[in-house]
Amino acid sequence: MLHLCDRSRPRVPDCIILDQPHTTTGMRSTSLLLGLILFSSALIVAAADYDTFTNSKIKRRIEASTATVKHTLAIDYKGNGNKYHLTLLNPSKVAYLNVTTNLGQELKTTYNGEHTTNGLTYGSYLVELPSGDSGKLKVIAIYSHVLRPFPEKIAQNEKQLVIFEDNHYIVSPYETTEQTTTIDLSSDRIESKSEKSPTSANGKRITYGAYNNIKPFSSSPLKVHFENNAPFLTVKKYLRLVEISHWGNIAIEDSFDITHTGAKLKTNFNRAEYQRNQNGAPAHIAKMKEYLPNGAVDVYYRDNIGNISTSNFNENAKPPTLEFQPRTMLFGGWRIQFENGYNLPSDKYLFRDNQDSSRYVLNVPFVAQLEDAVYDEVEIKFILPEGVKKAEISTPFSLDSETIGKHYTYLDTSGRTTITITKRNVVADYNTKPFQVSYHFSRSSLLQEPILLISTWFSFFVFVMVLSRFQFRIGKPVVVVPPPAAKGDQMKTGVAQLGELMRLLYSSTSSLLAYPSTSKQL
Amino acid sequence: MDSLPGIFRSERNQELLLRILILALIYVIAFSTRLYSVLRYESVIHEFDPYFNFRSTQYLVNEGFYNFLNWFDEGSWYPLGRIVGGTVYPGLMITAAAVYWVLNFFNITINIRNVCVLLAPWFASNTAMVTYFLAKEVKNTGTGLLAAALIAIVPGYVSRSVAGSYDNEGIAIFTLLLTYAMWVKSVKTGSLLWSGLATLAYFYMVSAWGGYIFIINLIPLYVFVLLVSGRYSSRLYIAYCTFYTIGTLLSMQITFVGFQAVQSSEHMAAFGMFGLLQIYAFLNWVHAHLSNESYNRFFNVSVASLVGFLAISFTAATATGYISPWTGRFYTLLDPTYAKENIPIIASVSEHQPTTWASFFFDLHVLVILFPAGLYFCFKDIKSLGDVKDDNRTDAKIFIICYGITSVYFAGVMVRLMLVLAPITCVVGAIAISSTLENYMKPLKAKKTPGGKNAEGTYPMQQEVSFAVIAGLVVILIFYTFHCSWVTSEAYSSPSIVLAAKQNDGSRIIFDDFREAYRWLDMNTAPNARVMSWWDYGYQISAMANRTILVDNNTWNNSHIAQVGKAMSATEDNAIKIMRSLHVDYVLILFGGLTGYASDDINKFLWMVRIAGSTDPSIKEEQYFTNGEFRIDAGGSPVMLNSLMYKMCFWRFGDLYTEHNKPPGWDRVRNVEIGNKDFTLEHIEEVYTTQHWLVRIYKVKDVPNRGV
Repeated sequence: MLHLCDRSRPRVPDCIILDQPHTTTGMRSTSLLLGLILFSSALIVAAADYDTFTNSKIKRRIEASTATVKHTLAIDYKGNGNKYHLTLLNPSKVAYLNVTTNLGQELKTTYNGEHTTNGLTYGSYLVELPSGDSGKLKVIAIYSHVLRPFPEKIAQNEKQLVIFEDNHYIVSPYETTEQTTTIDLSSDRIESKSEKSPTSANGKRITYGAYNNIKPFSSSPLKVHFENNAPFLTVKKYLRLVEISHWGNIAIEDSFDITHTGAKLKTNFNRAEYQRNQNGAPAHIAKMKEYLPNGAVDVYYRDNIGNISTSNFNENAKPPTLEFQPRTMLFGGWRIQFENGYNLPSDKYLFRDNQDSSRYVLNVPFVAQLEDAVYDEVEIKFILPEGVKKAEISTPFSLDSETIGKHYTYLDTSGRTTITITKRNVVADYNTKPFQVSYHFSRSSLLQEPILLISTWFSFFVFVMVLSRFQFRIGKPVVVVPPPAAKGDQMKTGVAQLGELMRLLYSSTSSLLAYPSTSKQL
Repeated sequence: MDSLPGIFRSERNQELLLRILILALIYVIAFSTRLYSVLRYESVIHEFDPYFNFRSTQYLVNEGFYNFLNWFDEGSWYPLGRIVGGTVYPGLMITAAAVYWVLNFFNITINIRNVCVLLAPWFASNTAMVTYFLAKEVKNTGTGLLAAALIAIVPGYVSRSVAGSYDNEGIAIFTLLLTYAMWVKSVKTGSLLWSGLATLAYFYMVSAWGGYIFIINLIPLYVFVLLVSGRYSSRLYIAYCTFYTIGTLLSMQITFVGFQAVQSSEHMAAFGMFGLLQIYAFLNWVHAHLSNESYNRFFNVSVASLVGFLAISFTAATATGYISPWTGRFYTLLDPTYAKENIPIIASVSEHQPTTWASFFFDLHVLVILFPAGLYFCFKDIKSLGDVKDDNRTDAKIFIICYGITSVYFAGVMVRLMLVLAPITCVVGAIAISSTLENYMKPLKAKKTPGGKNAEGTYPMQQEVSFAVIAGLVVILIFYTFHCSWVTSEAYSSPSIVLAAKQNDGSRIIFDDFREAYRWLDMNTAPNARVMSWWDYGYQISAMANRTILVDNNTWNNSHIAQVGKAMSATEDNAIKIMRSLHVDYVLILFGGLTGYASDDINKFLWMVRIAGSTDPSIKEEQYFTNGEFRIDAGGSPVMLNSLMYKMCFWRFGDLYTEHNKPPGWDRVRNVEIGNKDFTLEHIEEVYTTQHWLVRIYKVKDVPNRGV
């Protein structure tokens, strides 16, 4: 079960080498930027010249039935060389990319910057091919935020329509002999679609092509306007805390800051209508579903003002499933924040290295498996046990940042090592990739906290024992002597004086106020 | 006994061990009995005021002490704002923050919310320890243990100190009893150390709760009683002079108190007593140097002129306003009918209502009966000064009597002050029980002595009677325990922001609508949006929704609250003018008509009208009545049925079926069909209504463009 990472593989991120100058100097002057774009395009062309391929056949399948759009490309290529240029439109929106051979062997892919040719702006990816003069590639690319709600505002009971835009031709620097594109939609209600014959629509599916002998970078805009009521659930900020205890527990807490990024609510909310017909509001999100790792227990679901009671955890399901309603339902543009967390048994997720008995490897999913969620900003903080050395992260994909820090919590003296990583634009498909945290930890460090506790209590008891066996008072205890009787007499005269004062006051006031004679009987 | 290790063989050590064990148990029980709400619901702050305290504590923890003192909160009382640092008793927040800082210094990373939630139970445990000390000083160790056990679970105190009720009273009862315990000790010993400690405890009390007024009036009263009863002693003089001078100086350090400590009427009794004590001591001294006859002459002249001078200067100071008059709440204490006639805002608070007999029993149970018995034993034990049997406990007993009698009166006036009564009933009750036990245990123990069989009995069947009395006491105490746990669990452990109800099939249904609404506001409105609501929800909105509010539970500005009341009770066209002038963006109301939640805004509506009417006489309560009755059905007065509050509550409610066999628009709280179903909203629009319709939020529409 232990996936030890291939440590000979160079560490990612190792992309963005080629266009580094243009990103830095480009800010200074646009003319310089243009020049550099031309220069880097020339480099691409030069590279393309170097390894020349022909795509004999590409089948593209686009699934646009949820908030994300998944492109699956099956590419048959011919040609000699070991660097294949894969080009994808909208590179900033690519949340996930996986390139394999048709046999499932994963291929190393390096991002090579954004370029424009023939009016098409695309991202260039260098794929390292296995040797051979022809082959098949399988590319899966998942895009987030490419479906644009139109109209931008809808009423509570209206359906949500979105626009999808792409290119009829599959963008490639190589000539393509034959290509087809199919688009799977969420509904058969298609408001409009661009035509490029042969084009056919059948129910929820639109087929473009086959097109033959397409030149490199051929441009022809594709646009589909269709109904899509899928939850547009965008996690604007996601923070995961993973706290490892070598006493057998891994605690995970996820905090979500979610916005419904679909069409905004036009008129205001009407509870009466909403209550009458729950399905009458097709584009809103009332429930969410999260698949937890196997063995998850002690699930909680709360936000910063307390527990949220509308959740249901099915721990017998495979995988364990947490279904919950946010405090408020989400209409377009509405936002909600909450956190949930659970404990995992460490024997299923934390492993000891076979070769090096002091090295431990943690395998937990990268992000939460929240259904339909797109993560804009992901921050994950691993809190490792106290006394950890050489902590490191290995991923087959690039990270935006990686920082090592310290965290102090119960019974800590020197602090726990933390690793914080960030990454933008993530989807849950990353969980299929091996992602590991490894560190060195000596088992004797485990005893540090019990010893600390025992010695503290021990010294406290010793202190009390010493305290109770010694006399710390200087001199003898003072005996309180009751006041002498004579003094008491003196006091009594004082009281007599006070009584006299009272009498004086009484007589003067009564004579002043001339109370009726009955009062004297008091 | 021989099998025990050496250290346990001595009786003193055994007693010590037993005492520590009992106190430890009491400590744990006092804490854990207050956790019902955490176990049943969650670790959450309760009710209204605690939310403000919690928010301030968060501010203190995040921004530091000096920023807290200088905190001007523009998020409340819009557009006035509030100088929070100068208008709170900061003791509670500082205590919680200090606990938080200390724990975090030792890397115990408990979060501030949990510190706040658990602070009151922890202080309840500490209160039990202080009560032990106090009762021990008054009578003996056994009484102390009993008093601690009684106060650990007494419902009158539990009501304000369950987990989550993060309010001033939670720590104030501790500081109150600490002050009294230290005071009793200092009068007993006449030691500067103890009076100094009493002063510090008093300072803590002043920083924590406005109820310190009780201390600063009770102690002078007690000194006066001692003087009159001829128990003046140098111990008393030392204790009181230290206490008053340092205590007053310290209390002035609290920004909220400041010069009130020397200027307001509430503090004058203490000042007067201080003066009287000086005169008394001086006269004693003079008397020692003069013959009786000349002394009498001196006395009559000097005292009469002094009293006259003081009376004139006090009247003058009050008349010129140098000494501030008594506040409304204080008047209410002296005259329970005062608020009802003059200050509707004080009268509208349920905890300011007079106490019923039922709630005395509910909150004190058997202590209601034991209290007079205990007072009797206190009186019985009083020895005159100089008596051979006088062991300094007499002063303490007189103090207990003073405290007991005054607090009974206050608890009768205001239901909230049951809190002050509860601790003393525990002490007095413990004295009653332990005195009774002492009396009746003697015959029982006597049985073991050989030969003397009931020889000294003054009545027949002495042992049997003793046994019956003791058994009866035990049974009563057991019932007391059951009653306390039951009350704690049933009545005082609901956080009141989450409501729970039983459905017909017995399952529990949770209404979490308040937090739903606050969360919606927090998530989906502009960060500087201004929310208008009745003042009850002000603190919760600012703490949970983090939005600017117009009025909140710190009801210092009657006319501002009246403005809100006026807007709520006006027609929509008139209300919009007020709301626009106050820059209101959202209006939040509570509506129970769907679920049957009775404390909603319609039921509070008359108070809004009354309070609005107290500043604007054109609003008359009668306009909202039909033949002297407050109705919302078809027979309701037109003014009522067209008020903004009515419309906001019943918007879109008219065609909703709420109950079987009832017409649509059936209000389940008032049990009537609403009178006005057919209306439109012109200037406001519904933006959110929670799942059970408990909270409804409306947005004030922008002014339409010209020509539209």
